[in-house]
Formats: sequence, C-alpha cells, structure tokens
Amino acid sequence: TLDLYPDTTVTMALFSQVTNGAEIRRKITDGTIAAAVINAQMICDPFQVLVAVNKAVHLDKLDRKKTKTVFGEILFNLSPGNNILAAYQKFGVQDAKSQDLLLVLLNDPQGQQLEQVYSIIQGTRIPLESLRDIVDEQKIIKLFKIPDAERKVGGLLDVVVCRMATKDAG
Amino acid sequence: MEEIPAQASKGESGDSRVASLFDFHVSAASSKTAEIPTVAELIDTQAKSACALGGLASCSEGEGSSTDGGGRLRHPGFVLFMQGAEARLYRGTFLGRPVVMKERFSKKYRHPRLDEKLTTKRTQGEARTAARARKAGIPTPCIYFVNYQNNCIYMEDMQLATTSRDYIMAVQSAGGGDSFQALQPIMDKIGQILATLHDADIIHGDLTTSNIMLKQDKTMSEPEVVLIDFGLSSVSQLNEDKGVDLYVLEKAFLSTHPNTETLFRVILKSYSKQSRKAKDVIKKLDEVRLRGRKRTMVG
Repeated sequence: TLDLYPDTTVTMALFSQVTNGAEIRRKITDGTIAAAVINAQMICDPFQVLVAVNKAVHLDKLDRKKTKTVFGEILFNLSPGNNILAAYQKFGVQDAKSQDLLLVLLNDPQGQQLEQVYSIIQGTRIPLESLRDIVDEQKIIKLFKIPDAERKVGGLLDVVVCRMATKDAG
Repeated sequence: MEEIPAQASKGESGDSRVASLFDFHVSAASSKTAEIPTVAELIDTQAKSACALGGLASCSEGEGSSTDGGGRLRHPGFVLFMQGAEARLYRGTFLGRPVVMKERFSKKYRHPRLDEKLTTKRTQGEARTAARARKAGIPTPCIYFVNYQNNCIYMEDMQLATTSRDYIMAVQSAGGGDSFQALQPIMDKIGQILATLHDADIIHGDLTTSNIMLKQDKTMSEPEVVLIDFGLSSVSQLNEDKGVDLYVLEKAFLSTHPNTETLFRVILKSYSKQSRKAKDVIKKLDEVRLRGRKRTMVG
C-alpha cells in the first residue's frame, strides 16, 4: 500500500493469539523489531492506521516527531492524548497471555522485514479483514470519550480519524 | 381591460391566442415539463455533468492542472477545481479515499512572518472548529490530515452532495407554486442545525447557502444538512454574535435567492423551536437588522 509520499510503502499484517508479548516488547525497545506493533482491539479499520502512519511519516520527514522513532510516532498518533507513555500502554503490546496484534512495517516491498518479524512472533497470521471482529468499539468510545451526537455524524472510524487529524489543532 | 388568466393551471397552455402574447407566462405555467427535482436527483444530475467535464479535463490536462511556474506539479494527483480569496480547492485521492484538499496560500503583499502566522492560525482554527462542531453533532466533512507546513487540509470529499444554493435555485427555476413546499423541509433542517451549532456556542462566521450543503445517498430517505468552511468561525456565547451569524445568512440568502423571505422565516422558526436560547438570539437579530450591517457593538 502506497502513500502521499510515494517513496514510502506501508505493509500491515494482523496476528491472532500472540503469546510472547513481553518478548516482543523487549525486542522493540532494543531495536531488533523495527515496526509498529499495535493492540488490534483498538483499531476499527486499516484506514485508521494509515492515517496515523501518514502523519508519522510526514513529521518524520520534517524531523518534527514528538517521539523518538517513526513507529513510536504511529502509536502516539493513534492515541487521543498528548501523553506518549499512555499511548504506548493503550495502543502498544499489552500485558496479556494472548492478544491480537497489528504489525506495521515501512519500506518493505519485498517482504524481507516481514519475514524476519514473522519468525519472532508466536501467533497465527490472519487476514486484515478479521480486524472487524477483533475490535473493541466500547473501549475506543470510552478512551476517546466520544459523545453519541458525534457518532451520528459519521461512523466510529470517521470520528476516530477526525480526532487523530485535529489533535494538535487545539 | 379584462384580466386574462395567463397563469393557467399547470400543464395547460391555455388559449392559443393568449399564448402568443403571453408566451413567457405560458412556459412558466407549463412546469409539467420541468418537475421539481428532489435533492437526490439534483446530486445525480450534477455528478453526471461533472463526469462529462472531468472526462474532457483529464484528456487535455493529463494528471492534474496544479502546476507552479517551474512546470512541476505542486500537488501530483490532485486537480484544482475552485479558487477563492483565501484558499484553493483540489480533488484527489488520499490513502484510497476521495478527498477534497483545501490549500491556504500565502498573500505576497503581507509581511512574510505575519503571513505565515496568519495562514497557520486560520488553518488550525478551521480544523479545531470542525472537530468541535462534530463533537456537538453537526455534520461536517471528516478531516483526514492537516499539513501545517503548507497549510493544507485533506478532508472527506462528499461526492453525493450539493450546495443548498444550487438546490434552491434548481427548485425555484423548475417549480412555480410548489417550490415552497419542496423547500420547506430543507429550511426546517437548516434551522435545526444552526440551532445546534449556536447552542454549542460555535459561530460559523460565513453562513451562506454555498456553505450549507445537502447530502443524500441511496441509504438516506431524507437529505442531510452538512456545514462546510469553518475558516472564519469562532467560539462565543454572546447572543449578539449568534444574531450576527444569522443576519449574515439572511443577507446572503435574500440576495442570492430573490423572493425567499417566507423560506427564511421557516429557518428562523425551526431554529427557535430547537434552540433553548433562541428567543434572545432572535431579539438580537432584530436589533442587528435595525442597525444595518454586521457590527458587534461591544464595549
């Protein structure tokens, strides 16, 4: 999948029932895994992730990221608040025995990085469409504090995306 | 002289002798040939003609007409379709979705630093207010991305929508006597939306019939009112400001669409019904009308 920055490609992969969350988190911190690993329950549609990625890549090119890496920036963009740690906690790898994780890689057209990460993750890969069944809408509504009136304007995805896009407008 | 009823009942062209003298009356009366379009129908017609034009445009211009002096495409993949005093509007695709991109350009006559601050502030304000309006339940296009470097806002392209300006004009030119009935429910909805907006203490700032859009797709039994262009908007609890907001709309309404005083009254009526603070706002509106122009006499 391509971007507003045509020299950047985005690859997304969904993994179900991942058991080695702690190990993955360690590998992200020490840099072995160069990807954004997202708590799939908080994602209602791949578009939501793409919007976060777009903003992250944009800020990265301008060197105006709020976080250290573009992947951290993706997680930060997904979150409604300005607290980076909270974003990682809510949207990143969870402390659960088994969880569903969405992986996001950048500039991996041949799939080499994906293969690398594949070997590390202990879980089953499922199609992106299954995201619909994994998402926990109530959790999202609660975290973003979405009033009923806003939801009527245009489904959950639109609300979340709009919030993400206008977060730093004040 | 005998008064000849040229306004015969719809569809009947009346006496042929009369017809030759009062040809224009006849064509207005025989509105059977041009029936009042529904919102959905107008959207459809506009979409079809846009397609036809779009086909020609893409042949002659290739990928997009947004070139700058050097010949490079400023916004590859985006096609310019409107230019206003403050911004240019483009259509294109963003992450797989059709979008409208609003680019605020710099005004060269301004001092560069001031210009930069101003345009960014306007862009930011627009994004902020659009988000606020959505939280209050006002339908407005979803914003996907804001680029503060070049002050571009990428937002949802509402493809199945028309401006209320276009719709009112279409109905009036087709309609004859029935146009009021066809437009009344729309006016009613507009009043409700404005009431919701003002109850949330949001002042639109530039209410015109071109900024009030009507959306209707196959899943909707009735058209939906959508507000756009929050570039001049602000937040205020003052009834004065809300009254001015309504006054601006009234002026724009009556000047663009002649003989629509009754229609505007429908908007005000439905506004009063919906809003809790309407009485005071309408009072202010009356005061503003007496004063003449949009002025806030504060302090």
